[in-house]
Amino acid sequence: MLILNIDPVSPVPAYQQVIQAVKIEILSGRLKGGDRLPPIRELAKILKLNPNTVAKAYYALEEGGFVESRPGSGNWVKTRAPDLDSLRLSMLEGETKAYLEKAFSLGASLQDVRHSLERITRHE
Amino acid sequence: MSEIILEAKNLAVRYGRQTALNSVSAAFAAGEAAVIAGSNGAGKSTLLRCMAGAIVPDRGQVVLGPGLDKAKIGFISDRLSLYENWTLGEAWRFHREVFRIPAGERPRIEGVALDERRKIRQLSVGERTLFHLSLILAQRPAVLLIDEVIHGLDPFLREKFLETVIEAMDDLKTAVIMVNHTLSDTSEIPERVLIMDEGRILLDEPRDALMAKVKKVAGEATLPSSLPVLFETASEFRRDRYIYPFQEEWRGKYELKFADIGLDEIVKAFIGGCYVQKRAL
Amino acid sequence: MFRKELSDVLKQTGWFLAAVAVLPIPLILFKWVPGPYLAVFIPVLQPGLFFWSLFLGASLFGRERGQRAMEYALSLPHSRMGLLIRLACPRLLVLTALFLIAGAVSGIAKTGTVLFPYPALALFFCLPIFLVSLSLSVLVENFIVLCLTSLLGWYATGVVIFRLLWDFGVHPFDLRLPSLFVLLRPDVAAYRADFTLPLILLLLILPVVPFLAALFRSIVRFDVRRSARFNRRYALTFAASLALCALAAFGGRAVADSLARKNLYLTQDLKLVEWNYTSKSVRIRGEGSSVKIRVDSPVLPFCWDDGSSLFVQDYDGNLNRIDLSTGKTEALYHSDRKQTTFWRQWTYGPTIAFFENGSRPEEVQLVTLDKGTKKTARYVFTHAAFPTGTPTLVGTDVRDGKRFWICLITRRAVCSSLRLWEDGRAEEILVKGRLETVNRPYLINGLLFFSGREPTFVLQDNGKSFELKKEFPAEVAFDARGDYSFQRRLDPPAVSFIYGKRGVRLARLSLATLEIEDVGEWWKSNDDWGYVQRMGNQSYFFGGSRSRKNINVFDLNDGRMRLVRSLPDIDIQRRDTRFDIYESGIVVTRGRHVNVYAFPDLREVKFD
Repeated sequence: MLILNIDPVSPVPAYQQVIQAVKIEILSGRLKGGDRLPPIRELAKILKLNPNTVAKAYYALEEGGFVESRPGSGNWVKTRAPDLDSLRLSMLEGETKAYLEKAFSLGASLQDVRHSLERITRHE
Repeated sequence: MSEIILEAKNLAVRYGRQTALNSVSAAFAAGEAAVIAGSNGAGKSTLLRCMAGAIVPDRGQVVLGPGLDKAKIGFISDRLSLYENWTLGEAWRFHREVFRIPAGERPRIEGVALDERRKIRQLSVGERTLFHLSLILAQRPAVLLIDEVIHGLDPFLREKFLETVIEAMDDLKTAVIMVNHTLSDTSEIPERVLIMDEGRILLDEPRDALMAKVKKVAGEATLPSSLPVLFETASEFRRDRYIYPFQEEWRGKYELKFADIGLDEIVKAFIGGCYVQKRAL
Repeated sequence: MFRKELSDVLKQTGWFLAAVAVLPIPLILFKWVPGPYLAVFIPVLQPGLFFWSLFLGASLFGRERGQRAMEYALSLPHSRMGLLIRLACPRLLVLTALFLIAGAVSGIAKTGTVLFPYPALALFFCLPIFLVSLSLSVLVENFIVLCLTSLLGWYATGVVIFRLLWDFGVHPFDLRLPSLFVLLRPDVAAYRADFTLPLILLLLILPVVPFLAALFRSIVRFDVRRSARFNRRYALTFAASLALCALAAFGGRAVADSLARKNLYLTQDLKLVEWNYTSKSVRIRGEGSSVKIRVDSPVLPFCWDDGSSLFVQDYDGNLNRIDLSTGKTEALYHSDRKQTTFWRQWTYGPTIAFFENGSRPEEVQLVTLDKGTKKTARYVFTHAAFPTGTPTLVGTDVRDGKRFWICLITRRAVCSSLRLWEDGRAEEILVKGRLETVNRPYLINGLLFFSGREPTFVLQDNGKSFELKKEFPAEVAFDARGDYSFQRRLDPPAVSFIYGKRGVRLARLSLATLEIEDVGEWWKSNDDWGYVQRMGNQSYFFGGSRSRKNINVFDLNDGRMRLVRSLPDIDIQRRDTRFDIYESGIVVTRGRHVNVYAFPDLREVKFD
């Protein structure tokens, strides 16, 4: 099941949010190679999106090599995905930047961040 | 670029002494999804009625694209205008005959079952809205003109309505022009936003471009006078200033936090700005 | 959409018919009106049809307005005109069918209590009000206001057009409404002498044209809102069409007048008088002379002369004298009440006599006017027979120093005869004890001749009353009256014989002995026609053959028929051919050709 919510406020266009969400599902392994993505119409209905938006996202995913479109049967996750690891790393970097920005806005220092990371990972 | 299927050219409409539309022009492409927002009495419904042919404009004209005729326009008025004393069955047969829809079952809306023998005036507002939608979708329209009817629906029917419209968009590639002043969960559907006030179109932009151009500054920080403030709310505990048109380079240039806002808030800012201007006059 | 509209209209009409059928029942049950059922049903149905026509027109958009479906209807894929046609045609069809059925049923049932003949009801009333309310329904939304406006608007334009057609050229500044009778029964009034078929058509069509024109021109801008542009378009088209129709009415009248037959009269000195209704002038032609005399008001289609003056009456109730040699006009008498009995005058000696209405229906006034002194005398008579018909004088005389007049009151096929004395008595003349007779009397040589459809009989004055002197068998038919101009003269020269028919023979009757002698052949075959005309003490026999299209004039004197002249090329069966016999000659009209032949030898008289 594709779990995603579109943030209407975010400056990131909806189609990119869809692309992002699909990539995350693939990276996390919840979407495996050979799985079928929801049809454009169904995803559009669930998310209250313009079908063009979903179509655009799927097209971009296909361009990126994550997904292949089979005429008549929809969009399928590619079994041989492109370089997932570098994607994982770049996404992680993005998340880390955002996290650090947030942390510094609280007035914490880099030291506090490291301590906090260690404390929490020890408990996991 | 898709071809123009519906164009309003310099429409002027007056209700008695009041001007409802003042030289309004807009062109819509095939498959385009647009929302018309604005203050009450801005002329949104009048514009829609002109495009549907219910109103003959005093000046200007509505031009349909090549090969398009009135039968391909599906229109739901904000009064949900239908022959109230007819049963659903009668209304459907009439609609089918007039629009020359090939014989068949009336398209059902998933999850909503209506008894054909009931009279239209016995339906609730929500049931009537959905019935009307099912009628016009049977036309397999190229354009859907939907006035402010969603706000009257309960959450369940609202979802059904939107899902049905989205399905039609994918199925028929129909252009959808909706009038809404509160978008909420429908804000992702339109690709184009028109904001009207006092019979004029203030704004006609692609949604993404518009969202990039309107930002909010919250708080008491002083703004450089060069920044264009569209609208400002001020109370004891809150102050918001909406900047339009916003340029990205200002983010780094000024020590201000420009917040991204949703389409609802953007529309509110525009409408608010208009009210302020009127009060100032 | 057409089918749905048709079925709706049929359903509504069904309810209407049911209501009309049911309504007479309580009226009869509660004895408010006498039965039988059909006698009440028809007078309910006919006005009902009128109001139903009004309703059908006014409710053109009734369904859309009442069920809040106007926006839906206007956004359907029909043009405005297409929408109008789909909504209007079913109504028109149902109305037409209703009238055809009502007319057919009434023809079969022969109810007899028909207020209007159905074609007249449909064309003069129901169709116009339907079209008017149809047109106004796009302008006015409130149903009550719409109905009232339709009735008023139709009446107003009808009055305007009618006034222009009728007598605007005659009385341009007269703003009085036309007589209500004419408006209520235009189908009957249309048969008046100066109303021809083209004028009737104009009266039917013109009042409705502005409404239809305004509807068709403005429907393209018809809208859910009250559009100023739409209203303006409607109003301007309406005003322009009304102006055009007024012009057409006026022009139509003018054309009809110029084409209309002129009224002709031949005076005793062989002058031909010509006039028509709107020309407001009278032309007097003599041999080598022609005089045009202006009159103030249009002249009635009949007049008379006494040798030196022409006496004319106009529509304003004036009796005027025109001197035939000088052309000078002099007013003799004016009657200001609507005196229908004033139209006809009788003369004896210097006196002109005529009737005017009394103050009660049973009362009439006999007015005598002296031609020279213009003094008048009035005699008031009262009798129950007066309200039943029009009084006519058929003779006058003096007995024991007192003057009396023989008055005839005719009502359809029967008449009553009275002797009116100058002291105010109205003495009944009874024939075998009865007042009403089929034959009509005429006073000649002191005898009262009753001739008509029943066998002729003669009454004689015995000093106290009239008693039956002689009855003739059925084959004897003598008409003692002279020609029309002599019916006016109550003092004709004395005459010894009158001519008439006995069986198939021309015969003459001696007024002294009341014996009949054979004179000659009356007619030889069915192709022939003929009759006797008496001009004072001269009698003539006019006869002709329908196939040979001629008229033979025979002089009847000394008991013999003597051919005076044969006039060829006269087909009396043609509507535009007539010949009129006057004291001085005969006027033959064939289309626009007029020929005058003078007595006694019927030489032709030429005018300029």
